[in-house]
Amino acid sequence: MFKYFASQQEDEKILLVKRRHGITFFPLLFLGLIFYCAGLTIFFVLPYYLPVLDEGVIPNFLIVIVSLFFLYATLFFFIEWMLFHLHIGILTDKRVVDVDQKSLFSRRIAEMSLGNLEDITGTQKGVIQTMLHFGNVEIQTAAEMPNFVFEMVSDPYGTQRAIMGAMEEFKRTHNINR
Amino acid sequence: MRYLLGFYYLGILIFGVFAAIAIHQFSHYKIPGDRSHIATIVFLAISGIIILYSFGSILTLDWT
Repeated sequence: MFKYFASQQEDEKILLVKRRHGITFFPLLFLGLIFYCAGLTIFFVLPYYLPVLDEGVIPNFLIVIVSLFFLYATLFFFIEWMLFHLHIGILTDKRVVDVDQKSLFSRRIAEMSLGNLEDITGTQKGVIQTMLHFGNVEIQTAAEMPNFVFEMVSDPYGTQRAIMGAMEEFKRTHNINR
Repeated sequence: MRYLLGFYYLGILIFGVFAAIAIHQFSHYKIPGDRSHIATIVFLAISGIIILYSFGSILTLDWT
């Protein structure tokens, strides 16, 4: 069985997998585009207006610097995409799992039994979130355990209802009255 | 000029190390049913084109 997370049990059913809304990646896409345009401008357009850049060994310098610039811009973009892609929230019929890939070498996985959940709040703030239907889902837990936040997920209210339904079902089947 | 070429090769080497780590992370934590391999292929293709183009250009330039 392919597992979504390391501690997933054999009989544990995945109900929902949520990641950030695609629009939250848009600023980085824009930044990547600016990087590429800047590189292309330096390499192809600038020598046309500044003939000095086309003399001697300067083109050699330009090729080395600009190609490395392009390579690292591509790598930056790929790593940012990876962080976006691996940042997920999972709802199973037993617990909620928050997988947070913070950087290339930093990964945090937090799990919480559905029996320990108290309140679930879905929020949409501002025009963009309301129009594109995405926002945060905050899950408050019992006692001093830290809260969970599924950030910028699509359909926060639907996600909230799904978690609430799974929590009620879990508490009903395990006779937890809270 | 040797230093510039050395700088270029060092840059490619460091890029390769980080790219390998990123691809490893991507494949290691792969989620069932997703299409992250497409992103990896696109990344490798773009990087390959840049390296081939720059390497080809460097080989044909006059470094004297």
